[in-house]
Amino acid sequence: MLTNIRLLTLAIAALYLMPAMAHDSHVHKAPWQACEQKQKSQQCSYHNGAGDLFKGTCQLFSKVLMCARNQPIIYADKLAKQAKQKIIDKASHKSSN
Amino acid sequence: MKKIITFGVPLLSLFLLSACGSDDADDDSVIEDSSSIAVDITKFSSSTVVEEVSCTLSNGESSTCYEITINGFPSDRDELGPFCPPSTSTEAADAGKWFDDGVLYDLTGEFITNLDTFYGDNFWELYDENGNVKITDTQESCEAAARPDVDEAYYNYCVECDISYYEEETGGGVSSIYTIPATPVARSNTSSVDGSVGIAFNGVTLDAAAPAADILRAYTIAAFDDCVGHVNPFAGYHYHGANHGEGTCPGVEYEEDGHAGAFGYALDGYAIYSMLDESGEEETDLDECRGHTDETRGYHYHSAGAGENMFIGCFAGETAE
Repeated sequence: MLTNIRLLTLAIAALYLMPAMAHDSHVHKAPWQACEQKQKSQQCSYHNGAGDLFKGTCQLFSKVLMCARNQPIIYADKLAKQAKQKIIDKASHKSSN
Repeated sequence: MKKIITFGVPLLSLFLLSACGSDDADDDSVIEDSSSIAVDITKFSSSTVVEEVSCTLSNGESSTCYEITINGFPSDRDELGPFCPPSTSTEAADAGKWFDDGVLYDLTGEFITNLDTFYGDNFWELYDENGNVKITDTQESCEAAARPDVDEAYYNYCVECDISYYEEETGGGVSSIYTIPATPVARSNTSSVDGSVGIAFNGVTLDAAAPAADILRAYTIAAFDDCVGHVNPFAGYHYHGANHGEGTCPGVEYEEDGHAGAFGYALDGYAIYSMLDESGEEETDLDECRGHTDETRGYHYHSAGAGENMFIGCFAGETAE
């Protein structure tokens, strides 16, 4: 009985929480967020939904700072390879010492 | 910069406010190498009218400029679109595009169905119970949904405006006039983009970043076609990104040396080339305006990716007043 009440309470709480969580969510605005605390021409970077890395400088577009990429995109698979290589390098460095 | 379109005073005022070209006051970055090559007006399509005029540049100096009248319809295509997918089962070939955080997505029926998951907000629902996507299919609805303060009646709509509402002649577009220096003049400090960025050779405006946050806040998608262009009541058909050679969008030929091909001029008169060279590589020495210099092309820009909501980072040259 107690378990059933707990389950019911959880279900009601979930019903109330779900819409609230959904409406607290973001719209995707990483290029703008990357420059929120920065000045024009400062370096910035952001990841897209696929995990690719965009690096550039903050530039004004219609008076709003946005990260304008000026370096080649570093794709997620390359980032993963770099991270893996780092771990291998670290491990081989450790074993050689 | 001078830009004229004919929609009546309120719209014209709005547009002119948003098309001031550049803002000189707040820029402090110095672009060092800006060897300048004269604008080649033969690159523009035959539907573009070019006239040599006297002008004053943003540094106050007198110069010679080209007054370029574009008709606003891409000379290398017969029709625009597709934009919004008609139903939740529409495949990529019959749908347009949408971009987010640097990625250009196929605006398929499936993408529309999953917008709530994509944006993490279950208010998104751009389709009815029969799987029909809600599209602004009249001039009234497109104008109510395409304005900055979207009419709430059009929340959860895929927004598209037909060029026929605004074309100045059948099969045409909305004409605009731009003035650009005949030979670019390097600036000592970069200048910000505050309105249009430049002109494509095919007679279409390269526009500044689309206000993606405002669009999404109203639970709308301002659908693009494969060329990352769309129609709004203020500017007619215009581009927000460079995407060539995909779907219905014509490609841009590479240069003889394998360098990316040019597709337009920025308002400072420097040419804008595609992002990638023939090997699929991107330049590694771009300055903050996304420009660099080589012996063949002098100073020039490379466009950002099709999903990045921008072409160049700033102006390295003086613009016309």
